[in-house]
Amino acid sequence: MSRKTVASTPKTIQNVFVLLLLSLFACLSTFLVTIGAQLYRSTVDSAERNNTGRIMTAVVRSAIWAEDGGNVMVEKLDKWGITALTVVEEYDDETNYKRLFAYEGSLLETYTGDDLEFDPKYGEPLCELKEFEPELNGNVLTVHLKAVDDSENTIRMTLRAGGAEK
Amino acid sequence: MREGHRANALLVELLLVILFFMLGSTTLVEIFADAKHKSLQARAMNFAIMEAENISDDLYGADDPDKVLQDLGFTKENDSWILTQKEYTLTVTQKDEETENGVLRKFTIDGKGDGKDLFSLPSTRYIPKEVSP
Repeated sequence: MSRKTVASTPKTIQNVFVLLLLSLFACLSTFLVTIGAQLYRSTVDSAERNNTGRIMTAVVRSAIWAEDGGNVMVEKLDKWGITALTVVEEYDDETNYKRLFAYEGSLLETYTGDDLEFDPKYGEPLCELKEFEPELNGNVLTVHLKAVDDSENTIRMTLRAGGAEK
Repeated sequence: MREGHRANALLVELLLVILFFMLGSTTLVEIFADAKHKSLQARAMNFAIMEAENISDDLYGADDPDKVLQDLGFTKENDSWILTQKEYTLTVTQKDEETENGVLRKFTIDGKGDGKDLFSLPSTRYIPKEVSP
Protein backbone atom coordinates (compact mmCIF):
# COMPACT_ATOMS: atom_id res chain seq x y z
CA MET A 1 0.00 0.00 0.00
CA SER A 2 2.77 2.37 1.00
CA ARG A 3 4.75 1.45 -2.18
CA LYS A 4 1.80 2.47 -4.32
CA THR A 5 1.58 5.83 -2.59
CA VAL A 6 5.28 6.48 -3.14
CA ALA A 7 5.01 5.55 -6.81
CA SER A 8 1.93 7.66 -7.47
CA THR A 9 3.29 10.87 -5.87
CA PRO A 10 5.81 11.81 -8.64
CA LYS A 11 3.14 11.00 -11.23
CA THR A 12 0.72 13.38 -9.50
CA ILE A 13 3.38 16.07 -9.39
CA GLN A 14 4.08 15.53 -13.08
CA ASN A 15 0.37 15.79 -13.91
CA VAL A 16 0.06 18.97 -11.89
CA PHE A 17 3.11 20.38 -13.66
CA VAL A 18 1.65 19.57 -17.07
CA LEU A 19 -1.62 21.16 -16.04
CA LEU A 20 0.25 24.23 -14.81
CA LEU A 21 2.11 24.51 -18.10
CA LEU A 22 -1.14 24.16 -20.02
CA SER A 23 -2.81 26.84 -17.91
CA LEU A 24 0.22 29.11 -18.37
CA PHE A 25 -0.05 28.59 -22.12
CA ALA A 26 -3.80 29.33 -22.03
CA CYS A 27 -3.30 32.45 -19.90
CA LEU A 28 -0.52 33.80 -22.11
CA SER A 29 -2.43 33.21 -25.33
CA THR A 30 -5.55 34.87 -23.86
CA PHE A 31 -3.43 37.81 -22.69
CA LEU A 32 -1.84 38.15 -26.12
CA VAL A 33 -5.14 37.98 -27.95
CA THR A 34 -6.73 40.51 -25.56
CA ILE A 35 -3.81 42.95 -25.87
CA GLY A 36 -3.82 42.55 -29.66
CA ALA A 37 -7.56 43.12 -29.90
CA GLN A 38 -7.41 46.20 -27.66
CA LEU A 39 -4.53 47.66 -29.60
CA TYR A 40 -6.22 46.97 -32.91
CA ARG A 41 -9.39 48.64 -31.67
CA SER A 42 -7.55 51.71 -30.37
CA THR A 43 -5.56 52.01 -33.62
CA VAL A 44 -8.70 51.75 -35.73
CA ASP A 45 -10.55 54.23 -33.46
CA SER A 46 -7.66 56.67 -33.66
CA ALA A 47 -7.51 56.37 -37.46
CA GLU A 48 -11.27 56.87 -37.62
CA ARG A 49 -11.06 60.00 -35.45
CA ASN A 50 -8.21 61.36 -37.56
CA ASN A 51 -10.16 60.72 -40.75
CA THR A 52 -13.35 62.26 -39.38
CA GLY A 53 -11.46 65.36 -38.24
CA ARG A 54 -9.68 65.75 -41.56
CA ILE A 55 -12.85 65.18 -43.60
CA MET A 56 -14.91 67.59 -41.48
CA THR A 57 -12.40 70.41 -41.69
CA ALA A 58 -11.62 69.80 -45.38
CA VAL A 59 -15.30 69.79 -46.32
CA VAL A 60 -15.98 73.07 -44.47
CA ARG A 61 -12.84 74.76 -45.81
CA SER A 62 -13.47 73.76 -49.41
CA ALA A 63 -17.17 74.66 -49.20
CA ILE A 64 -16.25 78.17 -48.02
CA TRP A 65 -13.35 78.63 -50.45
CA ALA A 66 -15.57 77.54 -53.33
CA GLU A 67 -17.86 80.53 -52.70
CA ASP A 68 -15.43 82.95 -51.13
CA GLY A 69 -16.35 85.64 -53.64
CA GLY A 70 -19.64 86.38 -51.91
CA ASN A 71 -20.52 88.01 -48.65
CA VAL A 72 -20.23 85.65 -45.74
CA MET A 73 -22.46 85.93 -42.69
CA VAL A 74 -23.57 83.93 -39.70
CA GLU A 75 -27.33 83.44 -39.70
CA LYS A 76 -29.48 82.34 -36.76
CA LEU A 77 -32.47 80.45 -38.07
CA ASP A 78 -34.57 80.28 -34.89
CA LYS A 79 -37.45 78.52 -36.56
CA TRP A 80 -35.23 75.49 -37.03
CA GLY A 81 -32.84 76.08 -34.13
CA ILE A 82 -29.94 76.26 -36.55
CA THR A 83 -26.90 78.53 -36.83
CA ALA A 84 -25.93 78.61 -40.48
CA LEU A 85 -22.92 79.97 -42.26
CA THR A 86 -24.37 81.79 -45.23
CA VAL A 87 -22.64 83.01 -48.35
CA VAL A 88 -24.70 85.60 -50.20
CA GLU A 89 -24.07 85.96 -53.91
CA GLU A 90 -25.61 88.14 -56.54
CA TYR A 91 -25.76 87.13 -60.19
CA ASP A 92 -27.83 89.04 -62.76
CA ASP A 93 -29.88 90.90 -60.13
CA GLU A 94 -30.68 87.62 -58.42
CA THR A 95 -29.59 86.92 -54.87
CA ASN A 96 -28.55 83.39 -54.02
CA TYR A 97 -27.85 81.95 -50.59
CA LYS A 98 -25.51 79.10 -49.93
CA ARG A 99 -25.97 77.83 -46.39
CA LEU A 100 -23.85 75.41 -44.39
CA PHE A 101 -25.34 74.05 -41.18
CA ALA A 102 -25.56 70.99 -38.95
CA TYR A 103 -28.90 69.24 -38.85
CA GLU A 104 -29.84 65.80 -37.55
CA GLY A 105 -26.23 64.59 -37.26
CA SER A 106 -25.02 65.81 -40.65
CA LEU A 107 -23.39 68.84 -42.15
CA LEU A 108 -25.78 70.01 -44.84
CA GLU A 109 -25.53 72.47 -47.68
CA THR A 110 -28.37 74.30 -49.38
CA TYR A 111 -28.30 76.65 -52.32
CA THR A 112 -31.45 78.72 -52.67
CA GLY A 113 -32.62 81.88 -54.35
CA ASP A 114 -34.66 84.73 -52.89
CA ASP A 115 -37.93 83.17 -53.95
CA LEU A 116 -37.45 79.89 -52.09
CA GLU A 117 -37.96 79.52 -48.38
CA PHE A 118 -35.16 77.80 -46.48
CA ASP A 119 -35.90 74.28 -45.32
CA PRO A 120 -33.10 72.17 -43.82
CA LYS A 121 -34.75 68.97 -45.02
CA TYR A 122 -33.74 69.81 -48.59
CA GLY A 123 -30.09 70.19 -47.67
CA GLU A 124 -27.48 68.07 -49.32
CA PRO A 125 -25.51 66.06 -46.75
CA LEU A 126 -21.74 66.59 -46.92
CA CYS A 127 -20.52 64.59 -43.93
CA GLU A 128 -21.53 63.42 -40.47
CA LEU A 129 -21.38 66.21 -37.91
CA LYS A 130 -22.96 66.82 -34.52
CA GLU A 131 -22.34 70.52 -33.99
CA PHE A 132 -21.39 73.38 -36.29
CA GLU A 133 -20.89 76.78 -34.67
CA PRO A 134 -19.57 79.52 -36.94
CA GLU A 135 -18.36 82.90 -35.61
CA LEU A 136 -17.30 85.88 -37.64
CA ASN A 137 -14.88 88.55 -36.39
CA GLY A 138 -13.98 90.99 -39.13
CA ASN A 139 -12.81 88.83 -41.99
CA VAL A 140 -11.73 85.97 -39.73
CA LEU A 141 -14.14 83.09 -39.65
CA THR A 142 -13.93 80.62 -36.76
CA VAL A 143 -15.93 77.42 -36.92
CA HIS A 144 -16.21 75.01 -34.00
CA LEU A 145 -17.00 71.49 -35.12
CA LYS A 146 -18.06 68.49 -33.09
CA ALA A 147 -18.06 65.09 -34.72
CA VAL A 148 -20.50 62.28 -34.04
CA ASP A 149 -17.86 60.60 -31.82
CA ASP A 150 -17.68 63.86 -29.76
CA SER A 151 -14.19 64.78 -30.99
CA GLU A 152 -13.88 68.54 -31.43
CA ASN A 153 -12.04 70.67 -33.95
CA THR A 154 -11.75 74.38 -34.60
CA ILE A 155 -11.16 75.94 -38.00
CA ARG A 156 -9.89 79.48 -38.44
CA MET A 157 -10.14 80.98 -41.89
CA THR A 158 -9.35 84.36 -43.33
CA LEU A 159 -11.89 85.25 -45.99
CA ARG A 160 -9.94 86.02 -49.12
CA ALA A 161 -11.78 87.28 -52.19
CA GLY A 162 -15.08 88.29 -50.62
CA GLY A 163 -15.77 89.82 -47.31
CA ALA A 164 -17.75 89.45 -44.19
CA GLU A 165 -21.18 91.02 -44.10
CA LYS A 166 -21.87 92.99 -40.94
CA MET B 1 8.66 2.76 -17.46
CA ARG B 2 6.81 3.31 -20.73
CA GLU B 3 4.33 5.57 -18.99
CA GLY B 4 7.20 7.65 -17.64
CA HIS B 5 8.65 8.03 -21.14
CA ARG B 6 5.28 9.10 -22.49
CA ALA B 7 4.90 11.71 -19.74
CA ASN B 8 8.39 13.05 -20.42
CA ALA B 9 7.67 13.28 -24.15
CA LEU B 10 4.50 15.21 -23.39
CA LEU B 11 6.43 17.58 -21.16
CA VAL B 12 9.10 18.20 -23.78
CA GLU B 13 6.38 18.71 -26.37
CA LEU B 14 4.63 21.23 -24.14
CA LEU B 15 7.84 23.09 -23.39
CA LEU B 16 8.65 23.28 -27.09
CA VAL B 17 5.18 24.59 -27.87
CA ILE B 18 5.51 27.23 -25.14
CA LEU B 19 8.98 28.19 -26.40
CA PHE B 20 7.73 28.74 -29.95
CA PHE B 21 4.67 30.48 -28.61
CA MET B 22 6.88 32.86 -26.64
CA LEU B 23 9.02 33.56 -29.71
CA GLY B 24 5.87 34.31 -31.73
CA SER B 25 4.52 36.47 -28.90
CA THR B 26 7.72 38.52 -28.79
CA THR B 27 7.42 39.26 -32.51
CA LEU B 28 3.74 40.09 -32.13
CA VAL B 29 4.32 42.41 -29.18
CA GLU B 30 6.98 44.23 -31.22
CA ILE B 31 4.50 44.60 -34.09
CA PHE B 32 1.81 45.86 -31.67
CA ALA B 33 4.21 48.42 -30.21
CA ASP B 34 5.15 49.57 -33.70
CA ALA B 35 1.48 49.88 -34.67
CA LYS B 36 0.76 51.93 -31.54
CA HIS B 37 3.73 54.18 -32.25
CA LYS B 38 2.60 54.75 -35.84
CA SER B 39 -0.93 55.46 -34.68
CA LEU B 40 0.39 58.10 -32.25
CA GLN B 41 2.53 59.60 -35.03
CA ALA B 42 -0.49 59.79 -37.33
CA ARG B 43 -2.48 61.47 -34.55
CA ALA B 44 0.30 64.01 -33.97
CA MET B 45 0.57 64.71 -37.68
CA ASN B 46 -3.17 65.18 -37.93
CA PHE B 47 -3.21 67.71 -35.06
CA ALA B 48 -0.14 69.46 -36.44
CA ILE B 49 -1.58 69.78 -39.95
CA MET B 50 -4.89 71.13 -38.71
CA GLU B 51 -3.13 73.68 -36.51
CA ALA B 52 -0.76 74.61 -39.35
CA GLU B 53 -3.74 75.23 -41.67
CA ASN B 54 -5.26 77.53 -39.06
CA ILE B 55 -1.96 79.36 -38.57
CA SER B 56 -1.51 79.67 -42.32
CA ASP B 57 -4.88 81.40 -42.56
CA ASP B 58 -4.12 83.59 -39.53
CA LEU B 59 -0.88 84.71 -41.17
CA TYR B 60 -2.56 85.32 -44.49
CA GLY B 61 -4.94 87.82 -42.94
CA ALA B 62 -2.46 89.38 -40.54
CA ASP B 63 -1.09 92.90 -40.89
CA ASP B 64 1.47 92.19 -38.20
CA PRO B 65 2.44 88.51 -38.50
CA ASP B 66 4.92 88.67 -35.59
CA LYS B 67 2.17 89.72 -33.20
CA VAL B 68 -0.13 86.97 -34.47
CA LEU B 69 2.56 84.35 -33.93
CA GLN B 70 3.37 85.73 -30.50
CA ASP B 71 -0.32 85.61 -29.53
CA LEU B 72 -0.47 82.00 -30.70
CA GLY B 73 2.34 81.09 -28.30
CA PHE B 74 5.29 81.02 -30.72
CA THR B 75 8.74 82.06 -29.53
CA LYS B 76 11.31 83.66 -31.76
CA GLU B 77 14.58 81.82 -32.30
CA ASN B 78 17.01 83.32 -34.80
CA ASP B 79 14.91 84.03 -37.90
CA SER B 80 12.11 81.61 -37.21
CA TRP B 81 9.18 81.29 -34.86
CA ILE B 82 8.78 78.03 -32.96
CA LEU B 83 5.77 76.50 -31.23
CA THR B 84 6.47 73.39 -29.19
CA GLN B 85 3.52 71.23 -28.27
CA LYS B 86 3.43 67.85 -26.54
CA GLU B 87 3.18 65.85 -29.75
CA TYR B 88 4.66 68.14 -32.40
CA THR B 89 6.72 71.24 -33.10
CA LEU B 90 5.80 73.91 -35.63
CA THR B 91 8.35 76.26 -37.11
CA VAL B 92 7.34 79.32 -39.09
CA THR B 93 9.82 81.11 -41.32
CA GLN B 94 9.06 84.29 -43.20
CA LYS B 95 10.67 85.52 -46.39
CA ASP B 96 9.64 88.75 -48.08
CA GLU B 97 10.29 89.38 -51.76
CA GLU B 98 10.18 92.96 -52.98
CA THR B 99 8.59 93.28 -56.40
CA GLU B 100 7.93 96.28 -58.57
CA ASN B 101 4.37 96.80 -57.39
CA GLY B 102 4.38 95.28 -53.96
CA VAL B 103 5.73 92.71 -51.56
CA LEU B 104 5.38 88.95 -51.84
CA ARG B 105 5.21 87.69 -48.28
CA LYS B 106 6.08 84.01 -48.07
CA PHE B 107 5.60 81.88 -44.97
CA THR B 108 6.65 78.30 -44.57
CA ILE B 109 5.17 76.28 -41.75
CA ASP B 110 7.21 73.16 -41.00
CA GLY B 111 5.86 70.44 -38.77
CA LYS B 112 8.07 68.06 -36.85
CA GLY B 113 7.15 65.18 -34.62
CA ASP B 114 9.21 62.51 -32.93
CA GLY B 115 12.37 63.97 -34.48
CA LYS B 116 11.05 63.56 -38.01
CA ASP B 117 9.91 66.11 -40.58
CA LEU B 118 6.17 65.67 -40.93
CA PHE B 119 5.22 68.28 -43.51
CA SER B 120 5.93 71.71 -44.93
CA LEU B 121 3.04 74.05 -45.63
CA PRO B 122 3.71 77.19 -47.68
CA SER B 123 1.51 80.27 -47.47
CA THR B 124 1.95 83.31 -49.69
CA ARG B 125 0.31 86.69 -49.72
CA TYR B 126 0.86 89.50 -52.15
CA ILE B 127 0.65 92.94 -50.62
CA PRO B 128 0.39 95.59 -53.32
CA LYS B 129 2.06 98.97 -52.81
CA GLU B 130 -0.21 101.90 -52.30
CA VAL B 131 -0.68 103.67 -55.59
CA SER B 132 -1.00 107.42 -55.44
CA PRO B 133 -3.80 108.74 -57.64
